[in-house]
Amino acid sequence: MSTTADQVPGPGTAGGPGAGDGSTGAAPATRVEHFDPAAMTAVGARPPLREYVRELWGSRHFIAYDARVRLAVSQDHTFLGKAWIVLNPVLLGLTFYVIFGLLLHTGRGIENFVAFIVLGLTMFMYSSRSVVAVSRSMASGKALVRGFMFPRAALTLSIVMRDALTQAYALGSILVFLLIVPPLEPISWTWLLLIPVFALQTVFNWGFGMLLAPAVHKIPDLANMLSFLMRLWMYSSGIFYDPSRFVSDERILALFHFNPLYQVLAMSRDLVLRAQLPAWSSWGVLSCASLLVFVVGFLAFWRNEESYADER
Amino acid sequence: MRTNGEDGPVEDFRDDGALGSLFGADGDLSFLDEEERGAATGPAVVIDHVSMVYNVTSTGGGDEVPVPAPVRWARKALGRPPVVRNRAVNDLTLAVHQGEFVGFIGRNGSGKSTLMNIVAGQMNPTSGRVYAVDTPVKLGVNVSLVPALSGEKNIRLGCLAQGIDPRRVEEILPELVEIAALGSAIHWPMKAYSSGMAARLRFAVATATDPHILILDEALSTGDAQFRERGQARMAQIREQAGCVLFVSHTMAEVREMCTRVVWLDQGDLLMDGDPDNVTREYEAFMKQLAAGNNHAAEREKQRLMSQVVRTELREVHA
Repeated sequence: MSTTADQVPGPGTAGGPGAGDGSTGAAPATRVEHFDPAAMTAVGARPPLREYVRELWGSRHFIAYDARVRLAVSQDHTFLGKAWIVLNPVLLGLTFYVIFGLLLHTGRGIENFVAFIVLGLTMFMYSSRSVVAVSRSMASGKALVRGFMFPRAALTLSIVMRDALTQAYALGSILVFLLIVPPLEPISWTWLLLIPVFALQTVFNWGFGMLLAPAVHKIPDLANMLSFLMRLWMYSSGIFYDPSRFVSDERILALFHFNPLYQVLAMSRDLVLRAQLPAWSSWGVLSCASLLVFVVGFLAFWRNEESYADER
Repeated sequence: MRTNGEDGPVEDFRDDGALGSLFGADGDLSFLDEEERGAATGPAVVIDHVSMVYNVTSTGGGDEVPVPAPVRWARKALGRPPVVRNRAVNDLTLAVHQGEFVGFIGRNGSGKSTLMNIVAGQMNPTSGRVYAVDTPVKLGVNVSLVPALSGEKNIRLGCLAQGIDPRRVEEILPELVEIAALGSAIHWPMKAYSSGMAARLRFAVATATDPHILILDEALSTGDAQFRERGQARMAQIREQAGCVLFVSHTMAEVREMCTRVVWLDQGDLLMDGDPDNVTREYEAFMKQLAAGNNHAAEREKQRLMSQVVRTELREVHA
């Protein structure tokens, strides 16, 4: 704010440091301008948190429209277009049905192994896709970031919403898939409880993506690392196995228990495949982790708001 | 001869400065609304000691940016080229007032576009700060919206991105479509647009908010004669709404016609700041020297201008 305080010494002195190289004897003229930095806004400066949240709320129409439009054009380069939003998860399910349901007939002791994998993959891939997309959003949305001044968190939210809409279609078609591809899963009211699990997972994705975004913007190489880390995370979240069957060490089981994405998989399998309510501790772990990650992620993203305009 | 011609405007500006400080820039207030007076007692845009240095990889020459030896070795091992410094803007201080239409001229690579990006908040300067009374809106040649989306939807998205209320967007949409004047192409995806058509659309989007501070970075240069005419009419309208315009152009006729003040930048340095006729005349003479290959004469000329330039000195006041 007080950048000009140091150059108050008299109107006669040469203005900027660049004026010093004048070869002629005459002192360069200066034009004195008075301004009140408090009455103006510093361009590109990060607003206080409350103001930032208000601006974010103010851009909700932009967020909603941007998310809708992004979803609508996401498959525009294909012939089938929007049908891919539904076809992708169905084809994923069919792949595993062919391998494990028709060819191998193995389930390693897990009942309806095809449904176990397909549901788990659909849930996990939502997080890995969304977290990576949000963490890269400052680079991928460069055109919008360059073009308009809006709180940058709005862009992350619109990406999260686009992914959430995609996932809603995917989940819907996977549930239909489970109802028509053998072995059939009986429909149950507990399926409805997938909605809060999905909502908490979405909050987690947004927060985690925002937490990573500043670092990914500073060091673009991290984006390449991230997809591998997410894959590592996927395999250690019991995507193809039920950890309680393999692990007896209490400490390792605790690691699984406090892994929010493992909880997402375990809870959705409880709700859909076993028609039973997940343990309260599962709800607790997922809610706390999501909220914590969201708050930390949002603060980290906001703190670095100015850095997204740095030249890369 | 030239020196005499140069002295005139220098005197003028000294007077301007004195008047501005004595009478609190009263003249600026006459055409502003009541509510804007508070903000308008000072400049609309203050560029406060802004410098921009790009660190770019270069296949010629060694490192200019001091890096620790291990980093240098690692870079060499990975086959990454050394990093050099490119000074795009050199400690520039300017103040732009409401109602001013400031043209920025200079050779390619003189830092005009970088400066515009910084003023618009699209880039952070290496040092210094830009202050503005309102969010500056920039119309650039390389702002791309969503290529897969139709022109109309892009206008809507651009309006919403600027924080316009959805109902208001529906109200002004026909008018913006009119300004873009794209005919049936307004329903095509933007990736099917020619560069001139895309420029029209961006222009329409950027003028949607009636910005107080408008930055035009060669925005009209891609358009045809019809678009230029419309564009100039729209800009005159914006100017009348007590806004100020920062305008980058290589067309001196355009600059003389539209600008009330011209700033000449060369390799990041301020060479002249003043009356459009004077500055463009000197600039054209300078460019003629360069074109004729008289690099030394041009360099001497640059040194002379730099030593005579009227620099802006900022003083903070606190209300």
